[in-house]
Amino acid sequence: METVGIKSEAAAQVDQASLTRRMREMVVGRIHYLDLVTMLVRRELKVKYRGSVLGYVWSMINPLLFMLIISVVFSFLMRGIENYNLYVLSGILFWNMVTLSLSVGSMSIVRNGPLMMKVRVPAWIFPVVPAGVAVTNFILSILPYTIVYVFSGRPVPDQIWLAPLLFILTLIFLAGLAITLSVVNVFFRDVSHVIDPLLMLTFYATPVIYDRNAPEVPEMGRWLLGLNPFTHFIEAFRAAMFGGAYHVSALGLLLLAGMAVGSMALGLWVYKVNVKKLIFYV
Amino acid sequence: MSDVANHNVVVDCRDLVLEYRLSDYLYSGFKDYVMRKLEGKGRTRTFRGLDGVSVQLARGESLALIGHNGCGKSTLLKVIAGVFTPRYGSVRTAGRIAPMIELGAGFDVELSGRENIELSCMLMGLTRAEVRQQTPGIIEFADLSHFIDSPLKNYSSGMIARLGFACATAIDPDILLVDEVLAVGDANFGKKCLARIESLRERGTSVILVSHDMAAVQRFCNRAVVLEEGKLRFEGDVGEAIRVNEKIMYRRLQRQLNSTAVDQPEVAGTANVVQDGVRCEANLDVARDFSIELDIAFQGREKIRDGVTFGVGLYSRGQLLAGFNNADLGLEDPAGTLRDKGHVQARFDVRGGLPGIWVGSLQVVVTVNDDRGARPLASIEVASLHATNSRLGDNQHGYVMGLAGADIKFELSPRQ
Repeated sequence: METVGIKSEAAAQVDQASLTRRMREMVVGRIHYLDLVTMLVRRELKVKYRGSVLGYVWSMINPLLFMLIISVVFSFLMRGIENYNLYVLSGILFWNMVTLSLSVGSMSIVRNGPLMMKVRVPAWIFPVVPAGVAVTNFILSILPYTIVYVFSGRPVPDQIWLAPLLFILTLIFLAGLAITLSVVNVFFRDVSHVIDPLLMLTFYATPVIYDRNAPEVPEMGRWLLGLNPFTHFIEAFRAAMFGGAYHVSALGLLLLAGMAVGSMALGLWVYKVNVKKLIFYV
Repeated sequence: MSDVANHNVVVDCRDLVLEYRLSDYLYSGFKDYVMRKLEGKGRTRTFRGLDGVSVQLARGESLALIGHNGCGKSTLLKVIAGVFTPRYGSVRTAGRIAPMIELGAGFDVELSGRENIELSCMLMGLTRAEVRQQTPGIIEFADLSHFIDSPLKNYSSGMIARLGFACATAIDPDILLVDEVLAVGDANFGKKCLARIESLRERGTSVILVSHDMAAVQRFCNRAVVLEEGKLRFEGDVGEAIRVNEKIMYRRLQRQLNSTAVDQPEVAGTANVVQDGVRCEANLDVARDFSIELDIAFQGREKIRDGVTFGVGLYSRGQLLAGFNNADLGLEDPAGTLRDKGHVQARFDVRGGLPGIWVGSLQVVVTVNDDRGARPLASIEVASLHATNSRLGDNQHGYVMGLAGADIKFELSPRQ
């Protein structure tokens, strides 16, 4: 039974080596994963725009095109909203972020299953990448938004300084949701089928192209819309990017922060519970 | 085992158990899940891919994992790579791992070679700065300087493999995991790959090789592990491991043959090994040419359906050396005719003097392939041979068969 002694001696060496490695991973590993996420985001964008003449410019033109279409179609219905085209554009920019991160994000782990079989990569990276792509897209479209804003002649929103904070909260909220959905989708592929109709429903249940406080919206509808977390996010965004009657209170910010943390906590919990099983189902 | 303790251990796996879910491993959807829970079929059947396997690897050591298909060798490799988390047991690794489970893991065909280098290397754990530093070396090794900025979809499969190999080895791994990927690219590149692995080994990289190519295993590894159905059957000397594995393969083939005993067909005929025009009983000189002659008739009891092929395979200890079927020979089975009777006359010419020619027992297996899959119908023992080969030494077993030519007659007769 001499092997027993030898084994534990060997294990002691490995223990020490793996301890230093683990400590290194704790520090370097996190940075590396961030590096990896940004690289994967750049790759997505590169692939997306490869071969198109305008490339990244499409990220800026696209929301403008949607703005034109929607403001032409709905401007008769939405006479109550000042600068309706700008109002719609701010909504579209926000909503693009939601659809991009959730639609692609929910399928991301399954889509990267073959890769996970070959390399050791933490699966949470995959749903976070589309959120990163969405964020990049958003940042790119701030430029056309600013141009339209300047031409509209509106005063600068009072709460514009809140924009970066709101942006971060939205990102955390969406990434948390994307992680949850992508993990659930591994076990129930139904998610990938239901996500697009669900997003469409949510689009109409969120004041993207209309105003919750318009006189045409009944009290009951206003209350129901208040149950939708996206409503609170988009209205806070409007406060920072559109101004007017929109205003975020400290309590409102706390609510958003709570939803962001809650969403991320749910995502991480669902992830932690299932992480070891994922690979056998992807 | 004592040599493990003297070195620095880089991989230490203990009592690994890994379970796969069988048939109902995936609910086809939420409805399915609810139905199953309602019917009380919630518990899935599991299959142990690894069952109590312990393996250690020392710095600079080369370990082979061998065994039959589905024995768990690739699973073990993936556990070491960190892809799978075992159900029970522990895995400890020290240092950077280069998993060559498939060359070019993570490559995106839309991206250029240069962009894919970054992608692949970062997925394997390099930082961006390290990638930048390694890129020129990778391009040079892969010999792709002219194409490196064009997208991967324009590459040949050999070029992709070259790039993949260059990336995997450029990360300067402490542990290199290789899963049957060395058989890619042309001969020159193959040599270059082997030389690269050799030089990594000299620098202290440990290698784990999963392969069915026993010649490669013998050339490369100084220790081997034999797995059978997820269990560790042998660990130690490579030559001994190969023999253990042979026995396992042979036993499995026998079992497979016996399991079809219900439909056991009748087989009659002769199968001989001939050298210098004389039938060899025992002493075959594998350094010189020889041939294997078959004259076999068989009749199956089971009714064989449409679209079948009949095959004849030559096996040594469960390993297929050469084989052919009626379709290979242009003997089509006309639709609607039931056939289960055949006659085979064949001569295989084997070139002598090749390193690693098989010796040992030789078996001819008649197989049928229909809509129930390929399965053996019957087998007969050809010969049990001893051979002398200066390169292998007496009584050694090798695995490469040098078929120089074959002369085959194959007849299928309709059932009466």
